[in-house]
Amino acid sequence: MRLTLSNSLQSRLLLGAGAWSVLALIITGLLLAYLMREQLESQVQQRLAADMTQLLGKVEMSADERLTIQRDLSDPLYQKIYSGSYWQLSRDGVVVLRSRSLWDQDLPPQAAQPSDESGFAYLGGPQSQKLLSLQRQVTLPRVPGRLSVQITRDLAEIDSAMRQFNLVLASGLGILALGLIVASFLQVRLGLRPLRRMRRGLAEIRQGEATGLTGRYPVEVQPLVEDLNGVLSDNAALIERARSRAGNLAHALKTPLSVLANEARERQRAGDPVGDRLDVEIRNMRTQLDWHLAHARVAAARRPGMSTSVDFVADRLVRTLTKLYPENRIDRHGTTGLKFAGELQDLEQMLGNLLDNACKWATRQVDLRVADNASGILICVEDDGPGLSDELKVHALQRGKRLDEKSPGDGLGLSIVKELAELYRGELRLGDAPAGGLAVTLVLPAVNAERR
Amino acid sequence: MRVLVIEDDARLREQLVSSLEQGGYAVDAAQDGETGHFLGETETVDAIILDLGLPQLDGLSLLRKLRASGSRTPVLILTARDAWHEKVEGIDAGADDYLAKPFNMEELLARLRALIRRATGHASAVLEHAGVTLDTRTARVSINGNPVKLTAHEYRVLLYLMHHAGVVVSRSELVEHIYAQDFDRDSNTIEVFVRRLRSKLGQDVIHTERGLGYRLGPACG
Repeated sequence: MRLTLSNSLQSRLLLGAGAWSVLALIITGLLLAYLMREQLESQVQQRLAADMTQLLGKVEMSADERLTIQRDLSDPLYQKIYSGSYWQLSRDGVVVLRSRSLWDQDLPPQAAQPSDESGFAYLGGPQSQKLLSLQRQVTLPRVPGRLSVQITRDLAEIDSAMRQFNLVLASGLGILALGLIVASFLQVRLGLRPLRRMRRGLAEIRQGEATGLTGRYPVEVQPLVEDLNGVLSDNAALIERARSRAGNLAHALKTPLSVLANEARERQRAGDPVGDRLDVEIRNMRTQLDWHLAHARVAAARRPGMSTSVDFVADRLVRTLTKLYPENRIDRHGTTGLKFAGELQDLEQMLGNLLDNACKWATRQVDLRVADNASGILICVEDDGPGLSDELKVHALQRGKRLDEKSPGDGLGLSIVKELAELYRGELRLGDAPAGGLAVTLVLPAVNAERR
Repeated sequence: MRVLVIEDDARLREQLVSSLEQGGYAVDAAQDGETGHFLGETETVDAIILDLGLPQLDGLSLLRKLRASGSRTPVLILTARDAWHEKVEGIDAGADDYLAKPFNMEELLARLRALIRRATGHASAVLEHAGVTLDTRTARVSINGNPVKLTAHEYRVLLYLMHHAGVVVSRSELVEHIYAQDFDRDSNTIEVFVRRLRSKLGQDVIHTERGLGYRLGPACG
């Protein structure tokens, strides 16, 4: 979890923004609830103080020296039994008068003396009510002795108001938090969009669908994009140059090699042993040249995501080979419309060599069969020639060997085809054709198979 | 049979010319595309051996121009460029055969023979007419099974007549196909060769059509 979070820029930004908003909102909520409660309690306190003043103004001394209240307090809650709004008057520690709402109960005295001057305290009342209480020691001019007045109000209404308030506050802040998270998510997505576009661009480059990143990027990313494009084009140019240099070198050597080969032949015919030695070395050089030239052509061209029409390549090759070998018939069978997941020139090189080989050995007939199955495209080339013994089949696939050393034709034969096929994670198999000749089966990756 | 070699490498051109001459061909040679194209357009040759990487006019363009102007002379491309797409291009441009360098001279000669044979409609490498047997691979000639020794020029005359057996071939046509361009051509020498051939093969093998030319074997068509 940690790893995936810290590995994604998006998660990091989201987590940061989310954690901060939630923390800020929680602190805000707590502060607001505290202030609200303070406010409500101070209202109750003011009320209690006012009621006490009112009460004290109504206390009278009757003729028999008993204390009485002229009239009830204006707030009817003091008449309602156990309403939580109570008052109580004590004279020298003895309760002498109390509100009707107290019925037969006494208020518990506030612990000794209230610590601060305000005289407020929380008390447990009758029926386990939670009360806010105000107690004052007073002396009235017409009343002898020390009077103690206590007046209370139930805190339940504040509690219920606070519950209401907290509910509204929490849902409000919750919605705000959600909104903030969504907003930061959108912001992060929007902010990181150029990076995602860049990633898609890079994927296209890797698949060979593009040669560089296109379009404008934000100023923070643009220099990176330009550098990358520069590296890519330098790289492509470098590969192309190396490839064409290798090709040019090989081709430039071939003409003088032809001259040498002819010279060697002349000497051989004249019975000069040097001719034989030259001939061997020239053959060697030729094999090396062809081998490395074929590799230079291939290695640079390998890119995933390429698609080549098998029909297109087969059509071109069959047309060409029919002209080169007019005495042979080349027939095509099987599936059409298949796509090889690789470069055109590579397929041409493989299929061309197979067909050329078949035509060289065929008596009259060459068959090209194309099919597909789960492992990819199957291309089978059969001829009606002499075929190969099992021993020769093994020999034919060895690196750099060519079976037709007596008649140097074109291409490197089967071994280079095998190597090429293996570069594409395909394979080459040799078998016997029904007509008696060689049957070569080439298995290559298909485009749909790779996407499957 | 007359062959045009268009190759810019001097050593290889020399070798080709000498091997082809030994093989019984009259050979013209060009060292660049422009000269090659000019010779191909103006001279009557039976086949062209064409390199692709030529100065002034590259081989493929030369071939396309030649075909565009209606020439059907068989063309064998002899090149170091041997990728398949290059072969396809060469054949599509109108070449009849394609041989990659480095090559084997014997194979080149064999392919050339096959090209000329196909162009004149013969399926076999051994031509047989009116009792005369000519093996194009070995350049051996026999009449009714008896081997006959011929000089290079006699062979060329006979070969051309065999390729066009049953058809009247004019003296100038024979001259065109037997001598290279820079050779001192004298149509009277044709008469000398025909006379010698008759003395070696028998009087009734080559007929003289008065005012028209020569015909090998009975008239056809």
